[in-house]
Amino acid sequence: MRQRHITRRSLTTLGGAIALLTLLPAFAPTPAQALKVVATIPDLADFAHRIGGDRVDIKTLSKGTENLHNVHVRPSMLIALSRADLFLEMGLSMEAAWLPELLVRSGNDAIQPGAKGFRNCSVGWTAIEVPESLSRVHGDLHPEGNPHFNLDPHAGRHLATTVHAALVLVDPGGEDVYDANLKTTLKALETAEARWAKLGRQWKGKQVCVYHTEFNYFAQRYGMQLAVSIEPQPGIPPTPGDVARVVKAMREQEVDVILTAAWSNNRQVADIARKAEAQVIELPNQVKGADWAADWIQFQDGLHARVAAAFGTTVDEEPKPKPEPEPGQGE
Amino acid sequence: MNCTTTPIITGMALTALAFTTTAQRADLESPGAHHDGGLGQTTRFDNEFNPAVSFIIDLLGEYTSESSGGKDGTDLNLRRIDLLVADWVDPNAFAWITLAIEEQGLELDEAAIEYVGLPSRNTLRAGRFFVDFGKQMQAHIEELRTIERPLVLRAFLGEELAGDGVQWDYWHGVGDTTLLRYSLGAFGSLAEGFGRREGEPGPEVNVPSRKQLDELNFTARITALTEIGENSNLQLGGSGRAIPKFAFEYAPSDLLEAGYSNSVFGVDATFGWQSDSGISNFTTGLEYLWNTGDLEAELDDAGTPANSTDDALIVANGTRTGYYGFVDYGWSRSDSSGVQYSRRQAGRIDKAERGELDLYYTHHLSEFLRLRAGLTFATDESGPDSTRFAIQLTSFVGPHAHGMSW
Repeated sequence: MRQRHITRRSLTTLGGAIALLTLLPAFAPTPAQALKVVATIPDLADFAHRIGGDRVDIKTLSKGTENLHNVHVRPSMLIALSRADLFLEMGLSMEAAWLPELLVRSGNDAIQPGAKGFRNCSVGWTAIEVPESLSRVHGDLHPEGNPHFNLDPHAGRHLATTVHAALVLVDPGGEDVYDANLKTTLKALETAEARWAKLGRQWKGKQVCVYHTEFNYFAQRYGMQLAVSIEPQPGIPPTPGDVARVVKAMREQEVDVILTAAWSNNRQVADIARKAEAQVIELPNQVKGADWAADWIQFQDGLHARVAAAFGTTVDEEPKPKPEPEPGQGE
Repeated sequence: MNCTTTPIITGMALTALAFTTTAQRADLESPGAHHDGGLGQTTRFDNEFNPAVSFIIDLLGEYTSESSGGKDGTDLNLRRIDLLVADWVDPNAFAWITLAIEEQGLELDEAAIEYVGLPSRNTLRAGRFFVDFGKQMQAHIEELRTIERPLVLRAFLGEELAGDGVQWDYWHGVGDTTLLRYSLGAFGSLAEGFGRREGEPGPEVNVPSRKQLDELNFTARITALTEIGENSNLQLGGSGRAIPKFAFEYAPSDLLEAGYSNSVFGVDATFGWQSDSGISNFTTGLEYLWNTGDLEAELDDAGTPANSTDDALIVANGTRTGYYGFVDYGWSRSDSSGVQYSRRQAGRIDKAERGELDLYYTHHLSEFLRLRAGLTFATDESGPDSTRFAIQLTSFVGPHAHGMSW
C-alpha cells in the first residue's frame, strides 16, 4: 500500500502547484492604455495603423510570407488575442483552418464573433468565384467565395472604411482622429488607384497562368484572362497529368506569364515555365510578403510594377507616385 | 401486403406518430409536464442546424518478416473507420462524438461536451474523451505522424486511452511569447490497456465501480510553450496518470486481488521550426515515462494447469521506464519524412526489453487523402525480432477537427 500513499501525496502536491500557478496572472502588469488590435494579416494591420495612428497597439498574427490557409500557430497569437480589444479578420473562410480554435481558446469575450470587438472585414465586399455547389470534388472550397480580396487594387477603400468603422465602434472617443486618418488614407488610395489604373488598362485581355487562385481578383480587376490554373482545383496539388495538361494549354493559348506565390510548389512551377517557355513572376500575396511590400500601397505598387515588367508595359512612362503621407497621421 | 405485416406496419406508423407529437410537444403537452422555457430550438424538425459530420477511413497493407524462422506474411485490412459528429450546443458549449469501427466492431471512442463559458480561460470538459497526457495520447491513432503509436505509450497507457470523467483546463500568458497551460482530469477508470502484455491473455485490471473520491483515476498535465526567434516554438511538459486503487482479476480461476495502485509520469520536450513560407518544417521531440507501482500480474498455476483451485496471481511492482524520440522533416506542402525510436524497459514478469525503430514517409495526395509508407524494425528479447513494411492510406471525409493541439 506504500505506492498508494505516494500517489495521493503526488496528486496533492500537483494540485497545489497548479492552484498556485493559476494565481500567477493576477500579478501580471496592467495593460497599456492604447487600444489593443489584433489583425490576422499585415494588410489589415496596415489599415489599422493608418486609421488608428497612435491610439492603437497592433499585433499581426501572420507574417505575410506564409500560406494564409495554413498559418503556423504560435503562443504569442493566443496571448495577443486574449488581451485584444479589437480583432480584425479577412473572412470568407480565409483563416478558417487555424483561427476559430484560437479565438475560442483566447477566452476573450470582447472579440468573439458577434461581439463589438470582432470584425469580419469581408462583410460588404462582393466576392468572386462563389461556388454554385459545395463538394470536395471541387477542391478546397471557400463557400462564400474567393477570400484573397486583399489583392484587389480596389480593396483598399473597402478595408480602410471597414477598419475605421470597427475602431469607432470599440473606441468612440477616438472618432475624430479616426475620421481624419480615414480621409487621409482614402486620398492616398485614390491617388494610388489612378496610378495603378493607367498601368492596368494596358493589360486587358492579357493571358496569365496562376498556381493558386489568390491573384484572381488582381487579374480580373484589369480584365486579364486566367487562361490556366496549375492547381487543378483550389488547394489540390497538381498530378503529373495536370502538369502535362497545363504545359499543353499554355503552349496552345500562348500564355507566357505565370503568377505564383512563395509558398506554391515553385520547383514545379519552374519546370512548367521551362517547358512552356514562359516567365515566372513570384509575388507576395500579403503585405510584408517581400522587402518592397512594407504597407498595402507599396505592396500594390510592387505588384503592378512586376506585372508591368512581365508584360513589357513601361512603368517609366507613368507619372511618378507622390510621396505618401505618414501612415496613421490625421490631417 | 399480407395480413401479418399489415398490423406491424400500422403499429409502426402509430408509434412514429406518437413520437412525433411528443417531440413537437406544443399541442399535446400533458398538464404538469416539465416545461423547459425554451424557444422551440430543440424540437424543430428542419435541418438548418446540422452538425458537422465527418469520417476517416484508414487502410493498411503490410508485409512482416520475423527472424529465427518466425512467421512472414502479407496482410491487407481496413484498420479503422472514425465517424465524428460535432457542433456547438450553445454559445458556450461544444459537443462531439466519435464512433470507431474496428475489427472488434463498433465502439464509442468519445462523447463529450466542452464548456467554454467559464471566466479567465478556464474550460471544463465532461463525458468520454481521450486523456491529456504527453503529446500524443490526445489523438486518434490514424492522426499520428507514424503508423502506430510509440511502443512505450502502448505499453504503459494503452493503444488509445479514453476515460469517462471531467477535465479542467486553464492557460495564461507569461510575457508576450510564453504561455503555461494546466489540466486536471478525474475519471471513473483509466485502466484500459494497462497491466496486460500486448496480444497475450492473462489477468486483467479491474477498477471498482464504486469508490471513494480520492480513488477516482486522475490525470494532470502542465506544459509551457514559448517562441524561439521568429520561426520556432519550444514546448516542455509534464504529465501524470494515476489509478489509486484497482484489482487484478483472472476470471477463469475466479481470482480477484484488490489493493493495488499504479501511476505513470512523463516529461516531454518538443521543438518545432517552420520556414518563412511555411513550406519546410522540422519537428523533434522526446518523451520519457516512468510506470510505477503495481505493474502487471501473471497466473501461477502451481504446475497443475488443469486444476484451478491452487492457482494464484503473481503481481510485480516497482518502476519501469521507457521513452520515445522522433525527428520529422517536411520539405514541401505534401511531403514529409521522419524517424522515431521507442524503447521500453523489461519488467519482472514481462522480462523482455523491447524497442521499435520507425522510418516513415508521408505524402498528401491532397488535404483530404494521405499516403504513408513505414518501415519498422522491432527488437524483442523474449521473442523474434521483426521487420514490417506498411502502406497506410487514410482519407478524411468532411470537416474533421480536434481543436487545439497543446
